[in-house]
Amino acid sequence: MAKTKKPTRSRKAKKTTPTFKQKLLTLSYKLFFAMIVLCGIALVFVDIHIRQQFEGKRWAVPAKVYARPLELYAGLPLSIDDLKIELRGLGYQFVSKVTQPGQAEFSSTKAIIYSRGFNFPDGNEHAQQLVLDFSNDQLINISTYQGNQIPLVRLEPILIGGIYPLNNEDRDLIQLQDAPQGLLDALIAIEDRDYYEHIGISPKGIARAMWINIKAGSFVQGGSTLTQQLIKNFYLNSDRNLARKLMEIPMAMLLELHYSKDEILEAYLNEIYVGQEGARAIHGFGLASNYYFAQPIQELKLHQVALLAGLVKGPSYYDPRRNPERSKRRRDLVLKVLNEQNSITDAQYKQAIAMPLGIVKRASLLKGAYPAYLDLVKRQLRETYRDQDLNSEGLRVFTSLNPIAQNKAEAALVNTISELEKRHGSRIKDLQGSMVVTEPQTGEVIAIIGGRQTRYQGFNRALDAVRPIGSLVKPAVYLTAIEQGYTLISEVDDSPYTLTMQGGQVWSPENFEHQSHGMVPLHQAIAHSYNLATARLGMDLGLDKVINTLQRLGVTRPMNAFPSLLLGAQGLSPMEVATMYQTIAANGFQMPLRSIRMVTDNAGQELSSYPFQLKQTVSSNSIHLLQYMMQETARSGTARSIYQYLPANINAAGKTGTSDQQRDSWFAGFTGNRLAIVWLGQDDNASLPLTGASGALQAWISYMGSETLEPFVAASPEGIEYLWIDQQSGQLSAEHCTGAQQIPFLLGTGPTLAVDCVGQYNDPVSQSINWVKQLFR
Amino acid sequence: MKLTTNTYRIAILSVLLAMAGCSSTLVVPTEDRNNTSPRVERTKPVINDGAVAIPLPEETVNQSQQSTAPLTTEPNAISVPISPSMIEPEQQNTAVIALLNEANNYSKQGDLRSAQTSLQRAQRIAPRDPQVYYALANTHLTLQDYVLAEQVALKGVSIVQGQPDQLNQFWNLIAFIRDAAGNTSGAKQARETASRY
Repeated sequence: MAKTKKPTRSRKAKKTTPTFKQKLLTLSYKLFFAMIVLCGIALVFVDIHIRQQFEGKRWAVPAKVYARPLELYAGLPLSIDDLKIELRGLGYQFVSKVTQPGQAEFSSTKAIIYSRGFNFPDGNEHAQQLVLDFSNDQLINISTYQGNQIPLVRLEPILIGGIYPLNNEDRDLIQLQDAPQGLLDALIAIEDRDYYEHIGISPKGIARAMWINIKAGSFVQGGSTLTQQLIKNFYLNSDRNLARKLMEIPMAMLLELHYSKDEILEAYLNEIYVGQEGARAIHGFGLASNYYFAQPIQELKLHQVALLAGLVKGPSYYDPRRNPERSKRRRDLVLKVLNEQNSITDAQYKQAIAMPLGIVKRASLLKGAYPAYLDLVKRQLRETYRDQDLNSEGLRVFTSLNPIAQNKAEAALVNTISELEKRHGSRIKDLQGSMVVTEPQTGEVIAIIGGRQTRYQGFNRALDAVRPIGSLVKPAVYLTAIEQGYTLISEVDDSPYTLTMQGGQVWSPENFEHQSHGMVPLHQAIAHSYNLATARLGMDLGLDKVINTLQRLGVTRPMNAFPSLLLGAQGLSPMEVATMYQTIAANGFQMPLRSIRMVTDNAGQELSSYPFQLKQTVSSNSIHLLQYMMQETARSGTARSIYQYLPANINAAGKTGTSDQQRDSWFAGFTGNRLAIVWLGQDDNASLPLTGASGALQAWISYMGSETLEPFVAASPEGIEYLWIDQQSGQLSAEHCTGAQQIPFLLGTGPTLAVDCVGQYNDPVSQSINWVKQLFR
Repeated sequence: MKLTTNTYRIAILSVLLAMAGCSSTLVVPTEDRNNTSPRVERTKPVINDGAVAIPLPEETVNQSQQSTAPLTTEPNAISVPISPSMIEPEQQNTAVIALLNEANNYSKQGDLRSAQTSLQRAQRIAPRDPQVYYALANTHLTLQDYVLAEQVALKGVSIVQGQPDQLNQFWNLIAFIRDAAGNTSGAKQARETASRY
């Protein structure tokens, strides 16, 4: 017990005041020491974190997607108006006298442009003044300002989009030397006057800001240094609380300890938040320059950089698009401060404040303007790259999108839809449409429209609307016939047809106009799109053979061998139809449709390219005969309205398509340099008062009419001979006989008997007409 | 009374003479439906890509075909497309020549990927220039990608139809490619085809 009492006494003794104070003091020392150690450790960790982030990859840089660069050379079919479309997309200023990159001047036959230059993966194009001479919608000469001829030059490509990370931050990285001095002066003047003197924080700055704010009676200037702002944007979340404010100070000081002022300023220029477009957050002045002025930052003038510097304080509050007056007041304040600090002269100040804001309309920026095309590019990219690489590695993606063709296709489709709605009133409501345009010889996709709201990033009908293709399938049936030994004048039976299938189902196709035509030559059956003849022919040939032909033309979708396939019950997307018709346009060579030319890393090193690939799947002879029939369709068949509007020399080939109950209106056709597929229909599958010819073909014609076209020229392969055929009898005739038509045959398959042309010459009228013809030869 | 051929000739000539008097004020564009010669106008500038021009015998072009006015389309008219049996090579444009030279230099340095990049650039400018395909096929051959080399050369063949010298060169190239790929019978066949030109 005694032993237990002692400690009790002793505890009582320790409860005396001096001992407690001593203990508390000791504890405090210990705690203080522990805190110092902990803070020290924390600081070391923070320091490591800061340095890692700052020195490592600081930003997730979205992949940049570019349109094809416009290649300029003598002989290029290009009008001055086409060039203007391209230059507007690039944000060129149209001026009366070109003085710096990004400007262009025009006369009626001449354009002078000062290109900006661009680092292409396969070589650099430097900025230079180019003199372009035009004649008849053609570029006929390019020379330097000094008059030296240039064989070939590329303009910089239009940036059409990016692939953003989850936080939707978008930025264009710049280096400090890219930033105009005026921007740096303005930023430092308005945000952090002592930037080059302080150690990350600036008590003097805080005091000055308070004084200025009191004087102004409102919050004009913040006390945070640029370094603190960078820390805030870079490392901390956006919560405004004391703990965060307290963290800012040591972090800013640590940053200043490790890095130079210029390094920190460069990071600031790229990090700072300067605007919002929907979900996309605009970061950094490189992108801000493009976003607000559609110009690269190097080209900005004093009044423009002052506006950007002023935005930092409140990108939403001072948004020049939504609050232009407020934005201008802020800009002018920045200019005033610059003037007060003698950074700019009175004259510069007066000149700058007299300038309008000069903000571009969002519509004129092409980034995000082509969602349907970008959608295709993304799908193709995702076959090779991870999302993470696409939205953070700053990849550069070079595509084949032709903004001039895309603009024209959009105008044609949208206008045609409006006209059709106007003409048919309530019978067409909410008509939709889509379009795919390719370069037929290279297989490059140059334009895609996913719906009539061309900028709407929604359902991409060009890729995802799988609709019955109607008569667009017929070329596959007739190609199969040719391969099976039919000639173009082989007779096919266009009389009523009924097929009873297994299970007792009856299939009774009809011609569009509900008439039958008896025995008709093969070429006329397709040109006039006779269903009865096609159904009989297809069933004779065999569904499996037709499906095999479709596959060789490039259709990969599984197809059911139903008789209705012969009349286009099979659904395909416009893109799949484009693949199919591409093979026909390219003389039987199947080629994957390409939207991407090359992907490089952010330093321009090639990561992957998408080379020209092809495989001949249909013989040149057979495809030649098919092309002839499709040209006849355009000349005198269902698509003959083409030549009411387009020049007679284009030799277009194509096919109209109308699906069952007129739910879909299609046209697929090509000239020498353009293949275009047009689909019109309604998303709810309602019937339309349109056929392929009265609907989709009209949009096709409108588009082709706006393009600089080259004729489709199919050289006759050596296995083909052209013979003059009497249309009535299908026998040999001669060039000058009435009713004679020149028709191609595989060598040795033409008729051997000739009609007596003399009898026709005995007809005095035709004989005399021919005599007159001779006079004029 | 039965009219003779001569009577018709006189009547038609009179009508033509009368129309000639009016022709300065009214020109009706018509298409001669009986003549099915290639309908190619020369009024439009044509890109110098080596193959757009169509050799059209002058005697087969009548006045109406040279008209640039839109055609009237009669429903029952005979109106057919024509594909020429031969395409005249056009003069290469300087841009394509520059790119072919560039590709040639890359090939000499053994940088075949860069050569292909230049050739594809040339192809976009002149998609019907046979030299582009010849050079491109050669790069694939050197890279031992025989399948693609042959296909590119075949594409060349489809472009130079009617040009014997070019056909000879392409078929010899195909023979060479097939030999390299170990396809001796195919090579022999190609060589035989080449010898026909």
